[in-house]
Amino acid sequence: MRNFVFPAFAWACLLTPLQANNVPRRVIVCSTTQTADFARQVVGDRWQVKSVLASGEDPHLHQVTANDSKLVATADLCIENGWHLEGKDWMRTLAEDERKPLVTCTEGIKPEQFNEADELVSDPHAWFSPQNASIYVRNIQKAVCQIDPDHQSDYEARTRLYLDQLRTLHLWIQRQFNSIPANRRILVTSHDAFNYFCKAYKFQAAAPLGWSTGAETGAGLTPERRQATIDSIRNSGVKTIFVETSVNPRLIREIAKEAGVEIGGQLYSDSMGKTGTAGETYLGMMRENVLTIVGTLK
Amino acid sequence: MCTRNYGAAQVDVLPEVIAPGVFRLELTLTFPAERDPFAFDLENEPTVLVAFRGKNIIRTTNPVQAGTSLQVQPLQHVVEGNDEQSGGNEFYFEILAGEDSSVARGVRFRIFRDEQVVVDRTAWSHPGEPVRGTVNLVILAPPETEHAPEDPSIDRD
Repeated sequence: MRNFVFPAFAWACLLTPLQANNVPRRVIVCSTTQTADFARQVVGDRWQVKSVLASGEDPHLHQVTANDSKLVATADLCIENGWHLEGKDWMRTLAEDERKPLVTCTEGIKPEQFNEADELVSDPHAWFSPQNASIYVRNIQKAVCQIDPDHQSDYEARTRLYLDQLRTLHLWIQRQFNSIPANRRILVTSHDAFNYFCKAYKFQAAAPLGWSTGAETGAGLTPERRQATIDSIRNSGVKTIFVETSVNPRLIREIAKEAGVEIGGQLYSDSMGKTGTAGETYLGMMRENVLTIVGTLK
Repeated sequence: MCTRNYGAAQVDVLPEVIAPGVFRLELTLTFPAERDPFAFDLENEPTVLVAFRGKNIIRTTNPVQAGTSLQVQPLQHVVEGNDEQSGGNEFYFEILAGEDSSVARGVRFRIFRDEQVVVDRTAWSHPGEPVRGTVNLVILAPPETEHAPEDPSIDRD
């Protein structure tokens, strides 16, 4: 077998400018792919941004591993979504165990709440409203500036640009959904992840799995919730329902068959797309979801 | 092998000449300027910001009603020159359009010199976005009074 010698200068080309200057980069470890993308928009290449979850992994069901602890041990800053998106608050526990500072992105957001078994539960999927996403980004920017005040103006400039992009996204979504009549704006998905999205764009939401795919209060599948979803599909005249990229599609396929409707496509929900796909960033993920929804519901 | 010599570009710092006359800026909003949920700083972001040659000349964080005219008089340090480089007076403006802002917004931007309008422009936003951009006021220097030497190649009958 022929050996391939990778020339030294090629390695040098692969290094980022900051590494080439021998300045060690600070590290942010995020729980989810969405929060990691927001962090990248704020810090650029100045920090290394890592995510505990890979694309397609479910934050509700994640089981912490020794590798997660090792990853968090490298962090200068940890970022979680909060409101128990990370089942049993695994990111908080990891950060506390390693004594790392932790930013909770949902801090300052007005939650959508459910009353489940006399317990008030805050829906953690707040990033589905671009306005809420702007709060995530500001929370990250503030924390980063506290740790690295020397580059505050860079972080602020990047944040301002990204907030403009979020505004543009929001306006674009409004324009896209304008083509769907109000009575057809019904979004049926695997689990109850789209409440903020539905509120922002005047959709009705229905899902058989509750707010989490895990076993928390108000989460998971119950026969009543399954039947209620089928009933609401039949009563509302919905023709299409959607599976999610991070949730097993089996249940929603069964429901579609039982209710006599089609699967309209796959939506990014608790996780973004793989590197190289259209959904690998928050903006891309939202754009692709909207196009999938518009393409089937209008 | 092809080589190319790059000469050091000479950059002249142009002298600034203050333009004569009394200048006034008038900004008229056709919509209420309000806080924007996508602003960087929700509490302290200016609802109306106008900067002239890098300095803020209007900055307020309070809501401003539609139809309000904001004025700066006298507008100082207006320079004159031969083009946008030497006689350029660049204004940057940013007016936030509030939360319910799915339509395009307009702002009328007028500059007066000795009470004569020298710029009258209306800037429009994309639907829902803040009205922002730059306006350039070029005050041309008066032509030189000295006669240039005659060109002998031109026949004069």
